[in-house]
Amino acid sequence: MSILETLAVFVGIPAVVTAIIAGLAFLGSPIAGKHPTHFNLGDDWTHAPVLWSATDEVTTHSHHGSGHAEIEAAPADLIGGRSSGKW
Amino acid sequence: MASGSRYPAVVESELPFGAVLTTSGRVSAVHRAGEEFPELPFTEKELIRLDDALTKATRSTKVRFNVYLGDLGADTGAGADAIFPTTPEPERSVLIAVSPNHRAVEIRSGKDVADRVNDRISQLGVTAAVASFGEGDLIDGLVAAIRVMSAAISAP
Repeated sequence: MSILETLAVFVGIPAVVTAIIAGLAFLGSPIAGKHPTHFNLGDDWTHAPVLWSATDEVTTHSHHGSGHAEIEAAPADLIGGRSSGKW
Repeated sequence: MASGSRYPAVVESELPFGAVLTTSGRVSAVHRAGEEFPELPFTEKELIRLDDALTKATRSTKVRFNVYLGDLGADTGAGADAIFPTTPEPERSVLIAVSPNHRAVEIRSGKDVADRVNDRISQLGVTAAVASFGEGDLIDGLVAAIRVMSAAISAP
């Protein structure tokens, strides 16, 4: 074998095979799913409702009441201030 | 949480397809390739900003700030009233409820903090939120409302 044939067999062919396999790997999605598209106001909100709260923070009267007073009381009894707006 | 006790917490027959209740009580669920991940449609940065704002406001005022995002129904005021008792620590909290589909924002405060978070302060929050919502930025508006209200509430 000449030096060129040796190079072709031991460098060229492995390089081509590696390139093909690497190329195939790029065809698929890198993650097994999709991230939801970003929500901008104006779009329809189709996700489940979300409630955010800083639950790890301790307020001074965190054990106020029995804990069930909220359920027994009528909803309006718990409300102190209210306001609403549209945009 | 004031959602009442519910037993059992997980009903195996109500679990979605591909989810199973293990003997330890943990729910093991499958994610099928190609499906959307159960994530929020916001960037990590936005969620961190909101989280920081909620934490700072709750810490500085000792009033729990809650944000609800979702459908409030045709009568958004009544919807917010119905959700308010189910939020954490409702009597000492502020609830900012946004219904994007109705383009409405509702703010409620608990009766124990009504002297500090009165109608005037909740109106400040609405004004701050609506300004950013008008420009189409949801998280910006929420953060602005939380900051403005926590700054206006007198310290405990």
